[in-house]
Amino acid sequence: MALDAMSEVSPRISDEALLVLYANGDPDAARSLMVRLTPRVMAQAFRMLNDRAEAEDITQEAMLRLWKIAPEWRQGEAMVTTWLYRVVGNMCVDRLRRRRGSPLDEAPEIADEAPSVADRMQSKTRIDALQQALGTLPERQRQAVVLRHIEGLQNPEIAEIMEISTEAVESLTARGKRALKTALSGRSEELGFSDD
Amino acid sequence: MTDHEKSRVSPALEAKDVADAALEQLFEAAQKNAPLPSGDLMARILADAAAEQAKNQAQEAPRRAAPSPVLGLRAALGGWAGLSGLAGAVALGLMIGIFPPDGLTSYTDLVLGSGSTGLSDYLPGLEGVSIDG
Repeated sequence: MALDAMSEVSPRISDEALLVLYANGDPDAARSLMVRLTPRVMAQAFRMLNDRAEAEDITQEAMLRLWKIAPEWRQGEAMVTTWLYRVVGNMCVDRLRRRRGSPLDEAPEIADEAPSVADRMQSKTRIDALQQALGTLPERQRQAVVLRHIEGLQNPEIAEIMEISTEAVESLTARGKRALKTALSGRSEELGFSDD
Repeated sequence: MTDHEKSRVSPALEAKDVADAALEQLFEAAQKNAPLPSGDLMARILADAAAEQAKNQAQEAPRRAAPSPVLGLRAALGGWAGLSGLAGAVALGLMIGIFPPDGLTSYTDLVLGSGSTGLSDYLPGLEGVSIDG
């Protein structure tokens, strides 16, 4: 089944309600949660790790932790997505610390919105460049930039995920953006920005 | 000020603006091209979910089937209402035993007599029998 079609399942039920249904034995709740949450988990893990196989491992492990915690889930305390982003972020930071110094690059299988071949190539070049530049940031800066500028979360939610203050998030993202610009400087022409 | 003059006056500012705009475009490209989870990964996640759900249900079943003795007693007494009624009655009985009201003493004297009651009152044939042997 296509991911888009699967994501139509239970659009009005909250993630938390679905988790309670899952814990109570509803077989469809797991599928709905998986369709909603897995792409976000996978995207965050890939942006952090720049390695598809590792990102998939982290995604499966994070979702497994969600299934395990479902019976003890304390309702109203945290959003399911916040909890998941925190778990994934911590797991990715752990992996990055373990493999520090060993560069790994692998092109991801990306969502195809049927652009022209030239556009697709330029898009891929840009995404690869961003991914490489992200790889030069310290783990926490990278996590904050990914959550803020690629996942599109607001600073207070990022603060909750990373268990730091909103001001610290602002500082991390600002420093992260400056570092990205430095890492990308000199590549404007290659990335097609010289005519913009 | 002409465009030519502007570009001469603030090249650093212009370069910064271009870098900001370029970075925003890179973020946008990354948002639109999120890496998709493979079908195989989705299948593994669903299998994990089913296995965990089955495990949870198996653990829940005995707990539902055999409630604790306290819960069983409470249910037998009619729930919390029955339990609180019983506790109230016990407390009242204890109070009456310790501090009996005056009227209650005269009533027991009337029914049971004010003197002491011995075994011979009930079994007069045993009056001469010595228990000590």
